[in-house]
Amino acid sequence: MNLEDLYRLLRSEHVQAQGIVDTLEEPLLVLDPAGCVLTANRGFYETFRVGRDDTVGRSLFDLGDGQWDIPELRRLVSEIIPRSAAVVGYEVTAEFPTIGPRTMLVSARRLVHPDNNSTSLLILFEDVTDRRQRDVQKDILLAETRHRMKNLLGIVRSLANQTDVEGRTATEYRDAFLGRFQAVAEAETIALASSAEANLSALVEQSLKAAGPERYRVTPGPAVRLNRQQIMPMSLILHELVTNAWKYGAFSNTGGRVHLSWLTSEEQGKTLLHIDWREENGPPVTPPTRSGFGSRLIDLSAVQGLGGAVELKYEPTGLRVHITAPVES
Amino acid sequence: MHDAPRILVVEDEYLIALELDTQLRAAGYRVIRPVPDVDGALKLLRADRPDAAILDVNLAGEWVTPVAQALRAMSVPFILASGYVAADLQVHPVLRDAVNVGKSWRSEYLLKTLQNALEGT
Repeated sequence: MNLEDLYRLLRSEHVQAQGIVDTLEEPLLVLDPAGCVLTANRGFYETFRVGRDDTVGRSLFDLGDGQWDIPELRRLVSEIIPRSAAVVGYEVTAEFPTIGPRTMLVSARRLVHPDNNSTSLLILFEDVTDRRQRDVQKDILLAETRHRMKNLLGIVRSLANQTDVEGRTATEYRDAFLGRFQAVAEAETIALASSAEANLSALVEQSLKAAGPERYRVTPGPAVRLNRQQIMPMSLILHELVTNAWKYGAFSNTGGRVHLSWLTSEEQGKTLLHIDWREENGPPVTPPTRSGFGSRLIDLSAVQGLGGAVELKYEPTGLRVHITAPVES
Repeated sequence: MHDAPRILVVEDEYLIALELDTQLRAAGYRVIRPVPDVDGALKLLRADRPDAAILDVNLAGEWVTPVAQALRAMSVPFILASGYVAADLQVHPVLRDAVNVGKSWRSEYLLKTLQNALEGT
C-alpha cells in the first residue's frame, strides 16, 4: 500500500465516520482542548436550531449568545472531564432561548490522537425533557389512582356502616348492602370506560334492565354526559329507586311499570338535567312512616353528590320522583 | 352537649363525609356541616372558628393546602384523613407535619388522634 492509497482509505473512512455521526439523532460535538468546537453533527444543528457557521471554531460557552454557558456544563468540562476518561449521563437543566427549558443527559469522552497525543473531547447530548415530563405525569396519575382507590374503599365502608341494621335479619342486611355495593361497582365500571357516549343512558339501562323490558319504558332526552363525580351518586339514586319499586312500588305487583324520561334546560348559561321517574299501575303508595338510610342516601346523593336536588311525591297513581342536576353542556 | 368541641370536616366524597360525621357525633362531638371544597371551607372559616378540623387532601383534584394554612393562621388544630402517603405530602410544609389517619381509618385511632390534636399534644 502506498501513501496515496492510505490517504484515500483514511478519507473514505473519514467520510464513513462522518456519515455515521450524521445519522445519529442525538446532538454531538467534538471540542478541542481549549473548548472550541471542531465539529458538530446534524443532530446538534437541528436540535438547537443553529447553523454550522455560528458553531464550528467557536468556544462552546460563547455559542448562541452564551446559551451553553451553564454552570453545570462548565464544571463538567473544566473539572470532571480532565479527571476521568469518560462521563456518562451527567444531567444538565437549562433554558435555551430558541427551544425553551430542557433537561439533557450529557456524556463526554476524551479522545487521544495517536499521532501527536493531542486530545479532543467528544460530547453527546441526550434530550430527556419529554421523558422526564412523562415520568412526572405518570407519578401524578399513580397518585390519583391511589387516591381514587382509597376513596372507593372509604365509600364502600361508609355504605356498609350506614346501611340500616335495626329490625332486619342478617340476610336482609347483606342483600341491602350488596345492592348498594353493586351500584358503586357498576358506576365505577362506567366511569372507567369513560367513553364519549351519553353515559346517563348507560346508567339508566344498567339500573333498570334486571326488571325486564316489559316493566319499564325509557324516553331519553338529549345525550347527557355526567362528570366523574356525578356517576356514582346517580347510580346510587337509580339503585335506591329500583329497589324501592321492587319492595313497595311498581315492580312489586304484576302490572306495574316504571316510566323514566329526561330533558335538559338552559338556565343562566348552565345546562340543567331534569329526570322524571314515574311509577304506574303499582300498588297504592303512601309516604314511609320512618325514613331509613335509603331515603337519606337518595337525598344526599342528589344534593351533595350531583350538586342538584330531588323531590319525591307519593301520588295516588304511584311514586313520582323529580331529579335536577347541573351537567356539562 | 353544648360544650362538646365543634369539628370542621372538609371532604369532597359525601359518603365518606357522612361516615366521619356519624362517627364524630357518636363520640359526642358537634360537627359543622361537611364542606366539599376549598372555597366553601375558606368562606366558613371567615365567619366561624371551629375547635379542630379533619381534612381530606385532594378535593376533586384541588389541594386542601389553603384551608390548612388558614387553620394554622387561626391556631386551629387539624388532622388529615387522606389516602395520600407521606411522600405525596412532602412538598406542602403545612400538610407535612399534620397527622394523617388515612382514608380507611380505624374509628378509635381517628378519635384518639383528634383528641390529641384538641389537647395540643
